[in-house]
Amino acid sequence: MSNTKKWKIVIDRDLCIGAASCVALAMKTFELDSENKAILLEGEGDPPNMIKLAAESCPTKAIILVDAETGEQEYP
Amino acid sequence: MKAVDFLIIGGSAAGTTAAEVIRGLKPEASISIINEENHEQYSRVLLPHYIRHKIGREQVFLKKAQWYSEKNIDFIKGVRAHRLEVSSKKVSLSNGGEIEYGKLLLAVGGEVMKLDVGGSDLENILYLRTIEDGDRLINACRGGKKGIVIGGGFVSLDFATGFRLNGIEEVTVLVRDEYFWSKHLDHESSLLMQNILGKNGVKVVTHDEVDHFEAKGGRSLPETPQRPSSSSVGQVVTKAGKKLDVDVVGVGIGIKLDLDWISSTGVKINRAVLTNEYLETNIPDIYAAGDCSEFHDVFFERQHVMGNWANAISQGLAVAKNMCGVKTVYETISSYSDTFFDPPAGGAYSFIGVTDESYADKVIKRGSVEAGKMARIFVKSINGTMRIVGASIINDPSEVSPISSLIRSKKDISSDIENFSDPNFDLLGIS
Repeated sequence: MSNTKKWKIVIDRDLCIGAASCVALAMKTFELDSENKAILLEGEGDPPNMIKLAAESCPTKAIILVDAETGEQEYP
Repeated sequence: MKAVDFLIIGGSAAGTTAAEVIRGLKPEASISIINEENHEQYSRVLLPHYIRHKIGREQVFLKKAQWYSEKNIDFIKGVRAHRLEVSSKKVSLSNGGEIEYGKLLLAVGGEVMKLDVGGSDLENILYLRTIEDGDRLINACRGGKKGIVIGGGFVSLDFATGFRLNGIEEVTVLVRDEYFWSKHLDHESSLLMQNILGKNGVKVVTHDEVDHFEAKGGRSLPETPQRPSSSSVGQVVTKAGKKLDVDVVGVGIGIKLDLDWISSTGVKINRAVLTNEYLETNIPDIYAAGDCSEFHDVFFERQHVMGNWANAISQGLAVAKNMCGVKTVYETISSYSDTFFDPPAGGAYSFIGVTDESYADKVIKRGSVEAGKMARIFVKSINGTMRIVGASIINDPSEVSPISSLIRSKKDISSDIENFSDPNFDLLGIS
C-alpha cells in the first residue's frame, strides 16, 4: 500500500496476471516484480486521473483504489 | 439523422478507454459507442478465469450501464455498424439507424473463425470469444468425460484448462502443425508447454486435424442431413483416420477481422486498418485502435498489428488524445502474460514486443526444457544499434521485467549479447 495525493492503492496479487496495462498507462506508479505481478513504485507517481484510468484498465480488476481522505473504496 | 462529435465503433478495451479519455478532454462533446455485443464492457481476459470458476459471471463485467450515463456516453449495444460513407461522414447501423460523425474511431476487434467441416453445427462444438461462449462451455461440460481442443492458438490453452477444471477427465489438443503453439514458439519452448500440459492431464496430438464430426449415437455426417438439430457431437474423425470419442469440442483456429463494410470506402487496409503513429488512417477524421489497427510502430519502425489487452488500452488513450487535437505518438511496448493451471504443476507464459523470427536478426535461447523454464530473446540491429525487440518467456516470470526494460531503453546490447544464452547471466544487471 502507498499514498499518493488522492488514492491509497492496493494491488490484489492473487488477481494480477501481469497483463501490464497499468504499467503502460502509469509507468511512474506501477511496475512488475520478479513474479510478474504489479507492484507500486515509490515517489511522485502519476496524476490521479491516470491512476484511475490505469486501475480501470486492469483486465482482472486487481487494482483497488481507496480515497485517501475518506477511506472509501472508489474502484472497483 | 443523429449527429455526434465522436463516434466509436466497438466498445471493448480500446473503444471504452478512448471514450473515457475523450470525455475527460472534451466535457461538452457528444460521444456514441456502437457495440455489437448486447452487453456493457466486460473483460475478455477474465473469460478463462470465469470458465475455470475462479470468479463469478458478474465479476467479468468492467462497466455497468450507470457508468455510461454518468459519463454522458451514448452506449448503443446489440447493434453492428454495416456501412460507412466517408464523403458524408455517415455510418449506417444494423438497426436501420444512421449516425453522422465529426470524428470516427474504428475499434472493432476480431471475431472467431468458424470451422467449416461436416457436422460442425452439432451441439457442444464450442468457440471462446464472448461471455455467452463461456456460459455454453460451462453447461456443455456438465457430465462430460472427454474433450478435444482443435487448433494451436492461444485460446486452445484456455479451452484445455477450462475443460479440465469443469470436470472433463481426458483432454486432447489436436494440432495440424509440427508442435503446439508453433506460430508463437520454437520447438523447445513448446515441449516445455506440452510437459506442463501433460502433468495436468492434457495430451497434445500433432500432425493431424479434424476431417468431420459425428453425432452421438454413431450416425455418420454429413450423409444424414435430416438429423435432429438437437444432436450433440460424439466423435471427431481426423484426416489421419482416427475416430476419437468426445463429449465437448473446443475450436480455436484463429481470429479474423470483419472489415468488409469499410473495404470499399477508400480507408486503406492491409492485414488490418493501416494507420500512422498517431493512429490516423489515410482518411481525415477516421482513426483505428486496438486489434483492428495496423499502426506505424515507432519503436520498431514498422507497421504492426498487436492483438492484446495492454495494446488496446494504451492505443485507446493515445487515439483519444489525437482525436481531441492533442498530438500524441503511440509508443508503447505491449506485452501479454498469463498463467495456466495452478502451481506447482501449472505454468506461466509471457510475450513481449515483437516475437517474429523473420523480423529479428537473431534469436537467443535461455534456459532449457530440463530446467523447466525457457526464454527466447529477439535481437535486431535498428539504425546501427543492436537492440532487444521482443521475447517469449515460458515459466520464468522474473525475466519479464528486465527484458521489458531493455526493450524500452533501446539499449545497445552488442557487448553483452554473448552472455544472454547463459541462464545465470543476470539481465537485471544490464537493464
